[in-house]
Amino acid sequence: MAEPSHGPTPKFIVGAGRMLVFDPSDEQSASGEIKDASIHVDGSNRYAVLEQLAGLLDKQTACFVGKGRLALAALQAADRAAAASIRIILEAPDALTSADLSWAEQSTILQRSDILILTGSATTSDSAACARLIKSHLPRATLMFVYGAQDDIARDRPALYLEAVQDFLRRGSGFIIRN
Amino acid sequence: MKFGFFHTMPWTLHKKALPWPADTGEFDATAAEKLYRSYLDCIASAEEFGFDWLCCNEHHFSPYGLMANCNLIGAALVHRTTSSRLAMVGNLVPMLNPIRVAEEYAMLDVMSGGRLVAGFMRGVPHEYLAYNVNPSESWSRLREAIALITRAWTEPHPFAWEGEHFQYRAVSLWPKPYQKPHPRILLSATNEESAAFAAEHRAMMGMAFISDLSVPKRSIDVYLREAQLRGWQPTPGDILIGQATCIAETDEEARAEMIPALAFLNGILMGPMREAQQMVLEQTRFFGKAEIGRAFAGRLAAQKALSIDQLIDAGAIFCGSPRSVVAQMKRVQAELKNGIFNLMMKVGNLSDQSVRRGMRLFKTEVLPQVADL
Repeated sequence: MAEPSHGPTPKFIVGAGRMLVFDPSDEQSASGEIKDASIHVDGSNRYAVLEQLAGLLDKQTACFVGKGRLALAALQAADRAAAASIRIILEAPDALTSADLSWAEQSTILQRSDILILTGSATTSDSAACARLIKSHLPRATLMFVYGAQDDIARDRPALYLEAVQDFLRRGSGFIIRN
Repeated sequence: MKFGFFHTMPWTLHKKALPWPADTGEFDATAAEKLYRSYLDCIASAEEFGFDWLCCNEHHFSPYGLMANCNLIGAALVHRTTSSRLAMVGNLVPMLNPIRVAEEYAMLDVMSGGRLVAGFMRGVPHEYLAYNVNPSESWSRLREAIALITRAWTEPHPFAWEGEHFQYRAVSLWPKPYQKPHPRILLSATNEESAAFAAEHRAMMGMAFISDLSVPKRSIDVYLREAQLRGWQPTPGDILIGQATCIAETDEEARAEMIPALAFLNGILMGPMREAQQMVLEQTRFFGKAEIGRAFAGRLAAQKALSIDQLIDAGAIFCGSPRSVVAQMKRVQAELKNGIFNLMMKVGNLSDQSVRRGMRLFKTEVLPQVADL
């Protein structure tokens, strides 16, 4: 598989399982500190939410979260992971081409991983097209439109985001049945 | 100018107004079977009488209409017609399963070779009592349902939807619509709020039960202005005006038939609905602004209170000889600049014979004079 051209530093969250978060707003922070951008409108902290979500994973499961243009980094990291079970969450993926993803079809890890691709129904970027592109390379992935969200889904629609991600982490592929 | 033929399939055998919810003790299924047959024949024949659109709608719990699901009637019309648009005006999507609506509309569009006009209606207030849906959520449910349905029509891959009112984890619509990217959408625009909503969605706008021309004119102004702000330009063909219509050989004959028919429509058929509407208007936020609710109630009350001459003068109905109706249509069109008239020719308990006479006169004497408007 292709190596990332430059290595974005993921945020590493340990709950019962492990969660690696690739978020462009972290990458832009030289100190690696969490920027204000991670604070949601309701006052909650994005990472506090993710830590809570990581608590839903069991010890054998690793979860990779990639946001925006770092969706590819999350996929690449997942492809190198040794965990027994892998969950991947891609939030409003952006700036991807078919060439970036051609390797993914040969990745046995990605082809058997549970993948949730989130895009806002009111996106102002290319995220819906990128989401479709990823799904065309990884047909088992679930493409989800979060109603009313633009490109920061967790911030725009925190309740809907939490509902979807929580259910996905808790139930894996069984998530496709809602109740 | 295009013309729609609109039929509500009323239950015309009751002789007195019923309180809400309308008791069905006197409902006679054998008589209803005959009505359905007669009504379907009438609607299908409208194509031969020069109508461009055949329009069906949905109402609940009332003798006003036997069309609880207009898609069933649309399906019955598909293979009895060849060229007319089948306008479902329309499904009450805030209180229905939007995926089911998307599927049924897609079926109608494919089966008819792309003749569907997809109406998404918020519904009149009493429908919310019938289907036990919170009227205060009507706008947000409508908005989300339209977004979900258009997504279901156009999304090439299976997808999930996490919404405020609707959640689906695996949507993959079969069939997709015949028209690409999807059938034209028509939204009700009976007030300024809904007119702006229609423009926002780049939909056609439609309105009926006009009390005077100033009301639709205001809505049309808002629609055009809002569309311009959003970077598109509606044409006259995007504006549909619905009118109760009676055409007879003479003005006197038409008036003599229209007066009791309107009284039956307003008194018997719409009686239960008015009572329920009052409850909803008083106790919920069905309308975003209180003044719009008051205007809605006022508009219906005005229609009921006006004499036949006042209704004609106000542009609320078309009634008279072919010559008079041509003049009335020209006057309304000159004022509103609409490209579609949707004629409700089965007014109240007007006999089917009178309706067919009106359709014949429309084809031979009215249409040739107004087709080029």
